[in-house]
Amino acid sequence: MTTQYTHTATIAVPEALILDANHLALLLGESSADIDTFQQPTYTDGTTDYAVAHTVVKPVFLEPTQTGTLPETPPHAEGLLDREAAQRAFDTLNTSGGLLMATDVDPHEQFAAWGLEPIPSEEPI
Amino acid sequence: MLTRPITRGITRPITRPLVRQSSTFNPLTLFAQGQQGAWYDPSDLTTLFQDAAGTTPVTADGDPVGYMQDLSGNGNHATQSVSASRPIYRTDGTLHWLSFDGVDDALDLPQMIQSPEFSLYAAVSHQNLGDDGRYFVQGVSNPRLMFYATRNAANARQITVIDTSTIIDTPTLDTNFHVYGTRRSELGDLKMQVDAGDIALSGGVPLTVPAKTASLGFSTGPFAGSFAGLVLQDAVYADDNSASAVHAYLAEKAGITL
Repeated sequence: MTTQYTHTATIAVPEALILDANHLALLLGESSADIDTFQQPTYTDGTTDYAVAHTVVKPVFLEPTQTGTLPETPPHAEGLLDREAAQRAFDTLNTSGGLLMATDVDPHEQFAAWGLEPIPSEEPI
Repeated sequence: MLTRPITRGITRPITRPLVRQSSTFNPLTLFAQGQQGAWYDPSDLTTLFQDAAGTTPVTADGDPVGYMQDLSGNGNHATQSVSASRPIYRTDGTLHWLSFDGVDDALDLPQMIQSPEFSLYAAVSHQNLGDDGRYFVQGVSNPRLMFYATRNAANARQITVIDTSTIIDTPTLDTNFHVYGTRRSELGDLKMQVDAGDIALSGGVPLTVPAKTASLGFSTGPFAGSFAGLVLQDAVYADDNSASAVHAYLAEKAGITL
């Protein structure tokens, strides 16, 4: 058998857009837990901090970027989804100051291409 | 190997994938008397599911893993409810492993280590040599227990106990699979083993065991690497023979020759 997850998505969300981006993730994702996709920022461009994600996705995940239209609300998002928030996030995709997304790339190389560096950790060593 | 002709038909379907197992050792024996701990084996596809509820099986290279069953019988199943944070099942047809992307992947666990005495073994490869690779963490903030491969610019093998809450296991700096074993007695005797090498420390090093949940990988300090199996014995300071058996078992899972 072959996997249905034939693409990858690398995403960076400016801190101010995390709440909206999580509703977009819920709409395009696969479970109600996807409302928690983006948590605290872990990358920065020196001015703005970003929460990031990298995931395998099915082709249907990429359809909105091709059609410009968000899908209907899936069952797992009923009662949780704020469609206006999801639409706000989607409308900023790959615009100045907006969500950044690239497909089928190495995430670490893509973060560097976007000018993002990891926010130093407080971990020892 | 067949040494006698088959005289009875196969009456039950083969429901578990035929994988190469260590010929003499089964980790389940470590939990036969009800010992606490966990055992994970990504080569057993019957234990892997795409969703955290464990309803959609992993069936192919490249599938995400949202549930990995604990084979020890203790119910310490590993889960990930957020789709983007799931590691990926990978296979080359012979070996099987989970790939963590170093961005946000982790599998959540309940509290795994209850006792200051334990034995933990993992077959892991560390892919991001520019950063630490936390392959098992208990607790997000201090006090916590962290087991990880660290950066080492000198490319030297060293073992360091940093403080009462952290145990670090530093391998030779490469991206290959290694089997890491950490055994700690209640009195603080510490044995750390990388593949066939063995380093022992002693001296009553105090340890605070955090009563917190754990994770494979670490979502806020991401693990970029591959995972081919883990055996954890809580409240057990394994003897050298037992540790060697587990090392050999995990080495086989990771395709390592000890």
